[in-house]
Amino acid sequence: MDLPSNNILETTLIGTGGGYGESIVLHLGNQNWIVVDSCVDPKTNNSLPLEYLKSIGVKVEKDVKLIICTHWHDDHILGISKLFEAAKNAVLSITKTSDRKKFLQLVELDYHKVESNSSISSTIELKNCISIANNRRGTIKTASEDRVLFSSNNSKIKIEVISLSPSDFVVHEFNEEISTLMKDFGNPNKKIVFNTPNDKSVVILVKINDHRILLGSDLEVTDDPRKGWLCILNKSQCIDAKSTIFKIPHHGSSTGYHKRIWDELIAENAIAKLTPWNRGNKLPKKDMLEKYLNHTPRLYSTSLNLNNKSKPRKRDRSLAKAINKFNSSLIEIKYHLGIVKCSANLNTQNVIWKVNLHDEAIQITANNIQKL
Amino acid sequence: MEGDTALKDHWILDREHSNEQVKPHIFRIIIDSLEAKVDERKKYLQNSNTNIEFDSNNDFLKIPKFESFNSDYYNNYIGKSQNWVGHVIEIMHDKFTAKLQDSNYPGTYEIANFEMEEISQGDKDLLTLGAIFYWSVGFAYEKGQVSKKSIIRFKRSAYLSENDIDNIADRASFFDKNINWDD
Repeated sequence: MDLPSNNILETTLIGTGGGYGESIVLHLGNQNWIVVDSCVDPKTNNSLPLEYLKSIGVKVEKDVKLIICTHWHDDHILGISKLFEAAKNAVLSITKTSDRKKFLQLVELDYHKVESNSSISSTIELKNCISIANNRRGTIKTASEDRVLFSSNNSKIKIEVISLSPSDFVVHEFNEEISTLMKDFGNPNKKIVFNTPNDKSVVILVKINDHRILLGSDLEVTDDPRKGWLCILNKSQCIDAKSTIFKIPHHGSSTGYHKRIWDELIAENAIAKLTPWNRGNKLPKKDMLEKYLNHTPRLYSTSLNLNNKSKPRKRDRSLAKAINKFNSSLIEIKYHLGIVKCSANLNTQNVIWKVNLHDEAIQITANNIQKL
Repeated sequence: MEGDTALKDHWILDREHSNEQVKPHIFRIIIDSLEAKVDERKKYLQNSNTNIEFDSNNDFLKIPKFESFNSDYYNNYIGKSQNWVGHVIEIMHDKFTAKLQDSNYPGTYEIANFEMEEISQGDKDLLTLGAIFYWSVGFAYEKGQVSKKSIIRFKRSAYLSENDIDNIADRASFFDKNINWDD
């Protein structure tokens, strides 16, 4: 993989198989780089988007302009503080909260548990990012509905990166959730477990000249039109054209799907890409992949769990037998690195996306759906 | 690593069955054989015709008694073991699901279901969403017999002090004021 030239638009989806996160790296032309979310290699704990940027020769310190944390779940935030530390010129963007001080108290409260090994990775990452921003007297830009997070306009390339969610209603609602999290998980013998829908997720619309890219994060569809995808579909004032690249929300789950998203926001034969989820209720399901294929034949995943046999980690044989005697349900959440890279020339009138697959990334076809 | 040190105290299998404790068991054998020899000598002197006044209470003939020595305890130790730190991510009627991090070799994590009946009565109140626990599986050597053991112990912690809470609130206010928040 090489450094793209200034006229090449690139979106690179990095997936880990679900357990260790996902990230999207975008080159918006003229060495303007933005990164949406972060993930890690569990063996090294290195930030994968940072490794990727370095591997292709990006001047991370200078050229990464914006880092967006779409929501603070482990599968979207791991490694983001290392990335932010390296990207000295970047602005960090996180979900808006109506009571910021209370949110910071929650982060501090959970970080306080770090010595007893009870903090969650998300708060450690956030706390580190906050400290970095404080040390460099930097800016943290909050993301909410229809907000421009980054823009650039030179003679040839006009860029806007816009957050379409969370809605004002969700931001207000999040306030109550923070209080509950502090009450329920403040004790050092507990780790925070998120049990609420992904309605705080930040959906990103990227506009570059006439190109549109929609990054669905983990936003789900709810019956309440004040939140989720229905709110974007009904209220957004920023969507002016259909996107030719779509990061399918929430690992291709049925809760992230609404026909209107595809009809109203996504161009015909667009490139759709997703990352799978390998824990518990595995995603995507076969029926959903069939549904996506009806919308576009250009469907990609960073990996696909074709072999459903989950096992524990490899260990000494006698120990493995003892473990199996006591608990046969033990399974390892495997790490499956895959990269789906799409590139297009900004100088051409018609959008022609070229797709490159790396590591375990795969194009999903009717044939390989049958093997699931 | 800071975390490792803090966690090690909680490995119940390690604490109760440590390889370090094999050594006292060997000492017990040595002491037993010494005691047998002293008893033999005492009997010989008592039965002999020589005119030696023998005081059986004489301290120098006594082998110190190790009253607190619990031989059962020191016969027990653990051979190979596997330890995890887990936290509860889902609770169902008769079982719960946990995310587990291997303490021996960190890296990828594991998921497992546990039956409620595997949890000791004293730990049941601690079983809530997010609760941290320690799980050890290993080979226990008890009185020369080998058996497989699995022990689950939930973490107990003190609540935060008033001072801790004040510090948390102060740091939150500091970052709220000092960072340039662009809302």
